[in-house]
Amino acid sequence: MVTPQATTEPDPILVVDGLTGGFGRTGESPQVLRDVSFQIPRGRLSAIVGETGSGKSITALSVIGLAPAGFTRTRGSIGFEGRDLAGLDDRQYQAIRGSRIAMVFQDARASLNPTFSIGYQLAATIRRHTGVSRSAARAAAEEALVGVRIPDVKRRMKQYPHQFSGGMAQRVALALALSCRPNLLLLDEPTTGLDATIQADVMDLIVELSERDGLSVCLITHDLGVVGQHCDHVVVMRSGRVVERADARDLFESPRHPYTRQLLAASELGGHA
Amino acid sequence: MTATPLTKETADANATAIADAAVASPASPRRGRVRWRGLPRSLQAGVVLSGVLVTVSVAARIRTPHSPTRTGVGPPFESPSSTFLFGTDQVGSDVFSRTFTAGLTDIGITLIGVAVAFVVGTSLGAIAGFVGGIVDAIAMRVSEILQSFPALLLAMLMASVLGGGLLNVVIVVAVLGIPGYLRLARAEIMSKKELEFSDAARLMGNRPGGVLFRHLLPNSLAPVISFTAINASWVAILVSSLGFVGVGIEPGTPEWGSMVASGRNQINAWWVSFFPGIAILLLALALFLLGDGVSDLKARRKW
Amino acid sequence: MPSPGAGSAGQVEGAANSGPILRVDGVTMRFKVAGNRQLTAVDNVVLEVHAGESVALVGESGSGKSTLARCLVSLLEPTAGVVSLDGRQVSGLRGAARRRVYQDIQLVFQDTNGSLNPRWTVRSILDEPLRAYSDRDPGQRDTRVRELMRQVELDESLLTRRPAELSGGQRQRVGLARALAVEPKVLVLDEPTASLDLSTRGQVLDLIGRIQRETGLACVLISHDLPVVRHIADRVFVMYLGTIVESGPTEEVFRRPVHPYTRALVAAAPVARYRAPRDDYRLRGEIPSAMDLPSGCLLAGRCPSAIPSCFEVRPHLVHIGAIGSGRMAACPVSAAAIASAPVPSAPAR
Repeated sequence: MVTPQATTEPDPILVVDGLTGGFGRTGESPQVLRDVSFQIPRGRLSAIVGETGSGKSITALSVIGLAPAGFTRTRGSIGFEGRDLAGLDDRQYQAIRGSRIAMVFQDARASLNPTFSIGYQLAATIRRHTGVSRSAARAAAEEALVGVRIPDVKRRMKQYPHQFSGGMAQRVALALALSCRPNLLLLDEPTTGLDATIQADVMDLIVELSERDGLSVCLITHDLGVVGQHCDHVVVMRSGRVVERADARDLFESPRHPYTRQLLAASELGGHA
Repeated sequence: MTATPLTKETADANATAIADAAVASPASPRRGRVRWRGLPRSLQAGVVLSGVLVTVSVAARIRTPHSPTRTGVGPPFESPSSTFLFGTDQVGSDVFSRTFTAGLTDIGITLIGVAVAFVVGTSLGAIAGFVGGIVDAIAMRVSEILQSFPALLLAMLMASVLGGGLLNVVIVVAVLGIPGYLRLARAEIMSKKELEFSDAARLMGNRPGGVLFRHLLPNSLAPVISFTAINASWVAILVSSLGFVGVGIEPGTPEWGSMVASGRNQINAWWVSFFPGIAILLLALALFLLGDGVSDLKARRKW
Repeated sequence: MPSPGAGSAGQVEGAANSGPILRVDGVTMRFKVAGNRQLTAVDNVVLEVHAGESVALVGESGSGKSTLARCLVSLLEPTAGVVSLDGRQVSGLRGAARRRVYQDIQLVFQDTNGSLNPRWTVRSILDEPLRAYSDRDPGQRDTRVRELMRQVELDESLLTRRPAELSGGQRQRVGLARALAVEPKVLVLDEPTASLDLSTRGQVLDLIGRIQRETGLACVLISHDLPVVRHIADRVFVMYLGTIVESGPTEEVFRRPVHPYTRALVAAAPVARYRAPRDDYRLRGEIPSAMDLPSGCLLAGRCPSAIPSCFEVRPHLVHIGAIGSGRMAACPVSAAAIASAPVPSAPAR
């Protein structure tokens, strides 16, 4: 039961339509996504908002072709750059993942390989995707770290993930995701676990990168504060369904669905205007 | 301001109390009921095989075709026949009767040895991990020393000090097993000690012993049980190895290892070694299958 | 120094003793780390909590607030300083004497998963403190367990469940019920809602508020979540790198923060509005290691308002009378600015 749509994006970068699926061999029991449809506008910041069990993470993972083993899609399409990603096999996805769509996972440090230096990991990724020479990849890696405003890049290149704080690791993960110039960036709870003062810096960076490169960004989050501050378009999910899709201003100023109102009230805790 | 009740807006949110309750998984697979057909194949095979071995070994204690300990029930090195199914050995004893009689000896030493090592090793390891400091250091150094010797060499040394007898074999087997349990339990307790429920246990009025034995230890046993399951088949081999090299077992006592040893130079009388050898293999296999099955089951049910 | 409006519902119990129910005097906690170095997690903290009052310790990771919480409930023995409960010193106690302290002060843990024994049922979890701390017979204990379940608004049918079979909100209610079982005078809540979903968070906070009003319990909330702190706490203590940098009545502190760290914290707190106007006050860089602390003000290296003298002298917490009673801050620069000019206030929200 989706509320009537106020807006239809003229040229969305991602169109998810009727995505349905679940665990078990038939994808029927238990069903975790029920007719999930939404569009992600091009060149702006969007968010998929929901609580635990809302299906927001499975949706994002499905988009990037990394849905967990055991999840079966029974219906629906994922339109991206004129193709339906839903039908692609692993190898076809390899070509898209990273270079067209990239994703940064929640625990950035855990998603970096602890046994290789940051510089090596970045350069290796760049080489894999672009096939440039070793030294060119290294230079590109340095540039990528400068791009996410990591200070003292030369020294940082030689360091290992455990030597990075949560905020710095998040920046490295961003650099890694952006190193192959994707068009769409999915960020899974990019600020969870970071202190508020660090969060603000990371979000500023994300906004800046999106503006600079015309990147389309989609946050997967439960943090309505971050969404209100930075996002233009919001998809609210609950129990595997999309309950509301709206431009951020409309969503915050005149939420239609009762659940959205609940969420807004709950994050303000009765309001401290 | 003291926490005022939330305004009407969040009274709405109370409606999600229902949703919250719905999120709670409706009871994970319950323990009690175990269906035979649902068990892992390896566990089924292990249960059947060990069941057969135990039954036959017990039966052999009640009645065997010939006396297992008397010599000269037939001519020496008689090949398998209808009278002597597995043939006879160099002193004319019935290999069939001896092989089956030995079953309970080997199984018993193995199981008791493992049990003692489990109880003593796990307790010591748990205490070492919990108390830390000097106690931990001593426990670790001693187990490192024990583990740095080849097992068989150490067993022979100990047996020569302790002397013969089944009880001493059990002691040797247990002592060799203790360090493994100790180290595993210690590591497990040390990691569990960091979890908040150990602090919570203290706040709930537990003495240190209560924190350790009521809370930490029961939650640390899963990997120890997995280890036991795999360790037991190794112990079975160790027990027969001791018999093979003649440590601890009194000559003439039916025991698979020593029976294999007695036939090892008789190329023409293959049956003297062959049948007890097969028995050792079957016991180790049964224990391995049980262990593998238990591990499988645990992975499946996430204890 | 109870804040105006504090204790409105308090003083139900412990009225006999007019002093603070919990007193923390110069508590310092140092840990030895590899290489013979020391890490100062909590440095010379002084605070008082009165019966029926709720105070919050606010700070980000590395502020030492969780370590301080463990000192308060005697799970950790402070390196220096004294914790007193109802006028009795509780630091330095051992064995049975220390276990008796837990009857008066209890802790609700952050991790609803890790703090409940996964093999036990809810019933045994709630029964345990009753067996240890009371001489009730099994029937009376059962009555009390049911009473506790009602108090935290859980259905009795959940008594046979294990923690893994409960939702996060239900688990936190069990944690709360367990802490309340011994009827403590002070309840320390360590990030009680950090692992909960938004809508569950509101319910758990309402429950805590209701219980506090009904029992006159004093609460010490440990949190980094400013809306939660505003919702629960009468007074707030802002911590940075183990020290208290600002304290005062919650609303006043958050509306008109004095210390640059508090100001940055309030500025960075996300507000669920569309493009909520916000203060651009930001700290530079990241929190320094607690192993080699700067000699001057701990915030100086990150502080946009720092002046050269900040790097030399470590400021003390002093009263800032100019902006209301009961306000203290450890920043001479901001204090001087307030004394001479209108107070900088956070934008209205």
